[in-house]
Amino acid sequence: MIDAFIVLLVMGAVLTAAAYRRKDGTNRRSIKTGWRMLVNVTPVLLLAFLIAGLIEVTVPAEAISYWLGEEAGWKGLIIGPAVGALIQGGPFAFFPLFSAVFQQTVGVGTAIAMITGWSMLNIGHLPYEFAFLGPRFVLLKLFVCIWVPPLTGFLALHIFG
Amino acid sequence: MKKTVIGMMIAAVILIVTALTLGGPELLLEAVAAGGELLISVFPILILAFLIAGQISELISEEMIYRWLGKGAGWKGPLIGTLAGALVPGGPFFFYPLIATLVVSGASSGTVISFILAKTLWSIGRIPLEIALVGAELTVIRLVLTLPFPVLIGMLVNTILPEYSDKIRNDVAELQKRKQEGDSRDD
Repeated sequence: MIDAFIVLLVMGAVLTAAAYRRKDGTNRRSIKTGWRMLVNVTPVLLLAFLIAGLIEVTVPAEAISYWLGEEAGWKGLIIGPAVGALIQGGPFAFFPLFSAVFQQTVGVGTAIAMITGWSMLNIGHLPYEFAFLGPRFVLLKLFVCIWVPPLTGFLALHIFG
Repeated sequence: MKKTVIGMMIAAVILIVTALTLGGPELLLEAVAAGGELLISVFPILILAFLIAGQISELISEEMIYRWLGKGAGWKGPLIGTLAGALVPGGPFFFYPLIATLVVSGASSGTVISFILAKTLWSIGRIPLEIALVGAELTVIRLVLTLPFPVLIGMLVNTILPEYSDKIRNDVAELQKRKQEGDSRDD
């Protein structure tokens, strides 16, 4: 938690300096924009934390640990991305859920595989991909991408696990 | 956004009924307390994350992205696509139409794959939130490990399947034509 705070403070400081050099009120506008973003997603955030709490108490921890925990071993690298790809609602829903429900149980490999799978294989993107780019593109993307989350998780497990 | 809220409400109601069936009002209360506790514990860092997301969206404009990709990319396409994808703000309802425009104006399928991978893997406006809720360590590990993929896969697609760029361009043009016909029929 402290490390996250420090990283964010450093990021904020760098961006504030960059915005200050423009001397066009970017910093003032940034605060307004950030605040507006927070207000806009507040309903999603509140629901996300409620859902995270509900899943925490209704889905038995043993089930999550069986399918995705350390004991799942390499299977977590496949099931993790599959579960991630199914979770809808964008980052404001996914990250609170991950933090509340999965983070304590899954190992570093499954965690990385799951977040990667959620982001690059999300089924919620499929309607947009079909509508704007067509089925040929959807197949191409699936074909070249599907192995990335398990591989990234595998690397994470063996380098940082 | 509205659809998201409705979808989440349905999920919440199903879960509330499940909780009530499994353990009655006490379990529901426990769930609300667990969710509330998490929210309170991350709230200060969440505010910080959103202020930074605001800075990012003010510093990076759409015109910047168009200017970079408009240069006509060639073999550098996947590189520029990756950079642009990581920086462009907005959700799928915004960036897929943008990509379709890029395809029609000549971007190769490798460039487009790179753009989508970088956008979905690294979207810079999302990073503060990930750091706030998942933690800096896991976020950095994930960013480092996924670093080669967007450029690599984009270049691979351009090298192995060069004929796909034209095929996909035709697909997109066809989709846009059909959409326009649909629109004019609605008038």
